[in-house]
Amino acid sequence: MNIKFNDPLSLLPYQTGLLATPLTEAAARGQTSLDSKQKAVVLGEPIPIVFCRRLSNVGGVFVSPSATEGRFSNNSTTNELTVRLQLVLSEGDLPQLQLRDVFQRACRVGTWKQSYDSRTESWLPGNFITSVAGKKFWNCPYYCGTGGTYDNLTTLSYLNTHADGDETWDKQVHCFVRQGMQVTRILDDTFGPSNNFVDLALYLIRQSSRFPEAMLDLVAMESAALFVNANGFFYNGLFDQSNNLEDWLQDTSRNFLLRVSDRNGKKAFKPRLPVNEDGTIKTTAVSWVFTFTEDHILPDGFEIDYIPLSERKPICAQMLWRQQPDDDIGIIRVIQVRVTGEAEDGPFEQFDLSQFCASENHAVKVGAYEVARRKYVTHSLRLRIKPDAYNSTLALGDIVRVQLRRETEVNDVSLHDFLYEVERINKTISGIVELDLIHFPINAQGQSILAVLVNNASGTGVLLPTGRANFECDDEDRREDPTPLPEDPQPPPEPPSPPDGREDLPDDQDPAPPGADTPNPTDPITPTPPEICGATGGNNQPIPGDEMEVCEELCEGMYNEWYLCPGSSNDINANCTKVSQGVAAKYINANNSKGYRVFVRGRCPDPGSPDGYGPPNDSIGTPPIGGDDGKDWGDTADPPNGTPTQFVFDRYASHIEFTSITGPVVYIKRGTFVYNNQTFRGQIRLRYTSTSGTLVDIHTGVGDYIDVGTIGNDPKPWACEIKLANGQPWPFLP
Amino acid sequence: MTNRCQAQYLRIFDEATTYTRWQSYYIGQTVTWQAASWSYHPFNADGLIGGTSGSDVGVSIDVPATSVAVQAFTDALSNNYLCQLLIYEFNSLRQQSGPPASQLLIGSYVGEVTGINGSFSLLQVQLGSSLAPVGAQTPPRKYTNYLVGAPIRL
Repeated sequence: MNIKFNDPLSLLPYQTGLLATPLTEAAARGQTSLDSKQKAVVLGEPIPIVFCRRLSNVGGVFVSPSATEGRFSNNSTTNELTVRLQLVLSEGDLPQLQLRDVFQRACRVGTWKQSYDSRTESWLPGNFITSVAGKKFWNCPYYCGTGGTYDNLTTLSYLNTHADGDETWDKQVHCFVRQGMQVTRILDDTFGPSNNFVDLALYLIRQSSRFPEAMLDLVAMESAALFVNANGFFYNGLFDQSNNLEDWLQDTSRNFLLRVSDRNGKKAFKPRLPVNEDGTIKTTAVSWVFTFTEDHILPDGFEIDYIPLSERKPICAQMLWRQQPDDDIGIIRVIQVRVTGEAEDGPFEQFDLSQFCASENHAVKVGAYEVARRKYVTHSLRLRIKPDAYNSTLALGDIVRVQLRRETEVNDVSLHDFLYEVERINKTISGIVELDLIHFPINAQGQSILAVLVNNASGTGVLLPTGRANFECDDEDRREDPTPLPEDPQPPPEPPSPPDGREDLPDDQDPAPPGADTPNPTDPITPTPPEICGATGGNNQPIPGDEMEVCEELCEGMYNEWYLCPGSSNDINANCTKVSQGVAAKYINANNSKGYRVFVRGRCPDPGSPDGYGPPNDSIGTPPIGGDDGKDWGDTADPPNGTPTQFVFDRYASHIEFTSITGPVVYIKRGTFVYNNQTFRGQIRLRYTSTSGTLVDIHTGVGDYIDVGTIGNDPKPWACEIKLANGQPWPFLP
Repeated sequence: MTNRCQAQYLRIFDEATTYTRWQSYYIGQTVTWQAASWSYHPFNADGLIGGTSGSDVGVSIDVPATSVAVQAFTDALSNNYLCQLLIYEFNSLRQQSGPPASQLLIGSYVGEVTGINGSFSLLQVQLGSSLAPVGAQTPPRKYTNYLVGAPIRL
């Protein structure tokens, strides 16, 4: 039996990203501190990705690269300080920056070069500061870096000089990147910078190496890319914070009015609004692909969940975005979006898009969506429906109509009649289909209300001044100089050994099953079965007269029950006869017990049980009780050929020589034994194989025996052995 | 007259090779469909074939824990093979001897074997995405000595 759990329907709006109230609000993440101290790379931190593409004066991102190497030297006379820094701008290949776009603090100063996949310029890192009399000592770093391969990184080399006493020598350098990392854009299949969020997502998914290409729905991805492109939702940002990819995709896609969806196992983005073929928001009347009525829904197949009040109250969405002028450092902007006449005094919810959003319209449309969905999207549905025509046609994102009659009294019929968007499809082996649907509000013209509101929302278009009027700290004519930075790639340094600090484990281990078995330890709690001692026959075979006893009592006062069981029995419960019992009882094998097996059942004292003893613990059976049973042991194999020289009755330390026996086989069969001063009669049978192959027993009858004398009262078993011609003993049973 | 039936087909493959093709409808038969042979192996599959990412999208396959099945799915798990589940619907009153040409594809799912559990006699195989829900994965690259040496300390 399988027990399956579905997520509660109430979680659906959260899982789809429909409801996503910010948990924390903080300063704009797109803000850059200009006059800070230069940052150094720290091993282990993520390599930033600068992803942007400035088009029509929109876009670009302001970056503060970290340094990996430095060279510090001063003039021995003037004490002028020369600072060189090696900086990592981004992962990947970036087009050349422009001279007007490189800064130290807020000033366009210094000499710059840029390379890809290598170090830039050939200067050696180090601290070469000397003390100059009467001048201030430059307290520059002593650990200046060693250099690396800069594999697939875009690097910058920065050079500047500082007059004696200039305290700005260690200030952060910045770059305004107009064209970011180059990727193959999904929309035009061209390698170059991109501002399309889908391009970035695809790059990250592929780079993560955790997702097979076959599980990407590239057709849907392209549609999503067209949607964000057509509506001006561009990504112009620095991506340098470590994130879970799935979380990042979910959180960020929401700000592009996309949702991450899994369709037939393939990952894709899907617009949150209806779209036209050209990717623009569809504001005409929407149509639906199927109407579900009572005829389709199974009993108890209708579940509804209304979005809670906390997610419905009108808010003012406070959208943060980044205004990026062409010739100055960008500033953070805020625009408030609300439904007319609502939430004039709050509550305010802040949505920080400043890390990547450089368009007011983008911010306003996202804000419009957040505000509108609170007001108009009211509930979600879960339907269980029988299989029908839609089995092969209904797809994720389709619009469906649910029209159900509600009759609560005569002549009072109302309808549950809404449009919904299919959010989940669950198909079962029984054929039943389960759909999770989210309310898709439309107006009287059949238009999507959210689509109309978002499409019509637009920013003010007002560009605020940056507040900066003085550019005198810039080098002359730098502010308008679009000259690309020169390239100066350098070959990588001698590779360290091992070349890249790696340890590759050999892939030569073949998993194999464990070898020979080892016995498990005995459970000290579970008692071992009682063992039977007292057998005096060969190979521990009991014979009549043996006193059988428990070798080691399992407990003090153990109650023993002795049983005789048929020789073929392995179970004390099968046709057995109890022959003795009692505390520490023993059993002497009776003369008529030959061929039977002896078992003992031990029980330890237990005051809590009705008869004062606990559960039984049965021994295994002894070999059948031996002795002369008058039968030929015909199943004993013939001994090897040879001439027997003697028989030894080892119990009596005597022997008889049979010098006349020359046949190939001599058998010694069971001996007889006697009680109470009777004459012991040893009986020997001889057998040989005739030339015709017939087994011939020379003796089988009673009385044809060899008298070996009289023994005492104590009945004794006897055993024999034969020594063959080669002198090797060959024991016979018993 | 209609008797609506579902036949499920399962394929385990990677970029270069298809390792297993099973169907669970035609008992004891190897059938031909889409120019390929699908041998019989009993299994049941159901689950969420479409939904928003982060919800429990994925397919669960119940399969007897035969040595063949254990080998096939553990290999898929170890080697990141893909599994494709195809669900077809047709009217069984028309034909039962083999896949009818008119059968309709009502479900399709491609995923990795993300987990296997069960008992000695029954395996439950989860298909889904290995895009892990936990753990930092982006940006994908980090600074190393190989890339930048021992960096400057400011």
